[in-house]
Amino acid sequence: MAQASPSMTRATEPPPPRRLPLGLSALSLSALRCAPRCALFCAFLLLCGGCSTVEYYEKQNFGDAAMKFEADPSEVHFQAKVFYSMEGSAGGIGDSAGGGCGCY
Amino acid sequence: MLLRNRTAPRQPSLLLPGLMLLLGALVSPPLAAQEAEPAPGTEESAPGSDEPQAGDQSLTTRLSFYNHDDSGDGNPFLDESLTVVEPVIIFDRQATEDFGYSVDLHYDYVSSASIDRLSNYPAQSGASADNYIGATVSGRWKLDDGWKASGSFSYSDEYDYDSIGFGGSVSRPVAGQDATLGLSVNAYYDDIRLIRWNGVEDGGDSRTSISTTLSWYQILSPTLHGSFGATLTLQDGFLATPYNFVVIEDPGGPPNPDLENGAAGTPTAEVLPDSRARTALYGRLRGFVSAGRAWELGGRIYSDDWGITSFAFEPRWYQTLRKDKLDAMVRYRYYDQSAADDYQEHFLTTSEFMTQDSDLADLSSHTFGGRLIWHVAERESFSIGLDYVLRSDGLDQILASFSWEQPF
Repeated sequence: MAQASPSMTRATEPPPPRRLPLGLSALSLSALRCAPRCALFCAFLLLCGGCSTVEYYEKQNFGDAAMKFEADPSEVHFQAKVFYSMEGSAGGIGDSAGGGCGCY
Repeated sequence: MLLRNRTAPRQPSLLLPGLMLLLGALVSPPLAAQEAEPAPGTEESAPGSDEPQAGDQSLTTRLSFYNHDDSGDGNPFLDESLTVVEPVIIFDRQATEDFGYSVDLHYDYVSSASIDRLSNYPAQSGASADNYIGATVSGRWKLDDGWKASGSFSYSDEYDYDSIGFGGSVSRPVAGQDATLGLSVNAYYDDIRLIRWNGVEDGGDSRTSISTTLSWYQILSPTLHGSFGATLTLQDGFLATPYNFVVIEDPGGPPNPDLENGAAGTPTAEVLPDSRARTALYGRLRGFVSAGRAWELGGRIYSDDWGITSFAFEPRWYQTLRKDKLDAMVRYRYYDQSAADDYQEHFLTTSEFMTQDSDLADLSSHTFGGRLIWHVAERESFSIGLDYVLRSDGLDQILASFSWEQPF
């Protein structure tokens, strides 16, 4: 069985942590940055809500099998899990595939 | 043990007030809730005969397969080939008219070059494959005035981590507007064993992830409906991949036989920030063409504070091939992402944060796939799905799945 070579010893100690001004944490700054985007999106959702006038008897098309959104959540879960593990982004349709490293 | 990179003490963010505003919008009394008649067949509403009745129960068995080979692209110092086989069993029961629950059992068999490499070291000689087991128990409730709620608990275990998760969601119809507003929150706590690329165990650490999604379903016309949402995920703790390494290259040095390409250099641990905020905006529109035919356009915009921005566009076509018997779906997905700030393909010196993980690199992909669903009898069906992913970094992927749902 192979042994670790001398060049592959323990990881080097990382440098000191990154400090932010005004005592703000990285998460606080990120939340501040994304707040305008979230507000814009909420406004978009509210506008969407105000434009619908479909009567109940006009909704029969939504009962068609082809019009139903995901019927198999386990498939959505699997694909979200794979994409989550293999891409740098996550979130959106499906879920974040749970915790764990997801780092095959 | 490798020290974690701690940032300054945290201050209250805007997240909490934002969530409170959203909750306020949800709990405000619906205007003329009795007018919020659900559309038949939509995801958040009563789909007529498809709605489970009290006493209905089903068992779904599913087998998924995922594979990608390393053609020599991606990280030049690593063999990144991987195979995952995932059997899943889902038991679902509608206990009463207003309450149902499900139990999901997942198992992953993971075989990868990175695990094979670990097994070469005496301390990790048992790591010939990785076995993931997971279980999720969830409940769903129908409440007054069209409100719905759900809650879940999950646990998973793998060779180098344990994870506990909690989730909950509420949704309510928006009266008179053919819409449903939803809010979900999921939280995970992971306990991680830091097993390094060379088999050295570097102690343990943890990671916390909280994800909040605000969703909106809307009927836009008699032939068009859509679902839109925003997800904010905050992660804190050890966010690097423990066994990933970065090669500090020494162009004048001797070849290192432990590296995949025999490069001259010294591997050292991947180091990434210990916090991450991720936002995603997504949506999809489904349009009715004629009986048994519909189109869908889906998309997502993503950004995070690691410097990654991404865009995904996904058109689909749904077609009933034989009424009540055979349905088909074909899809295409285009995905493009920018590299993380701390990603570099080559390092000549160490830096505060550094990664050579090809999944954090600049990449794009094209996915082609589809699914066939055969309805054998009422509430009993087989489905088969296949996707092929062409990635710009050469790490092409195959996803396949087969599932069988049966009542009993």
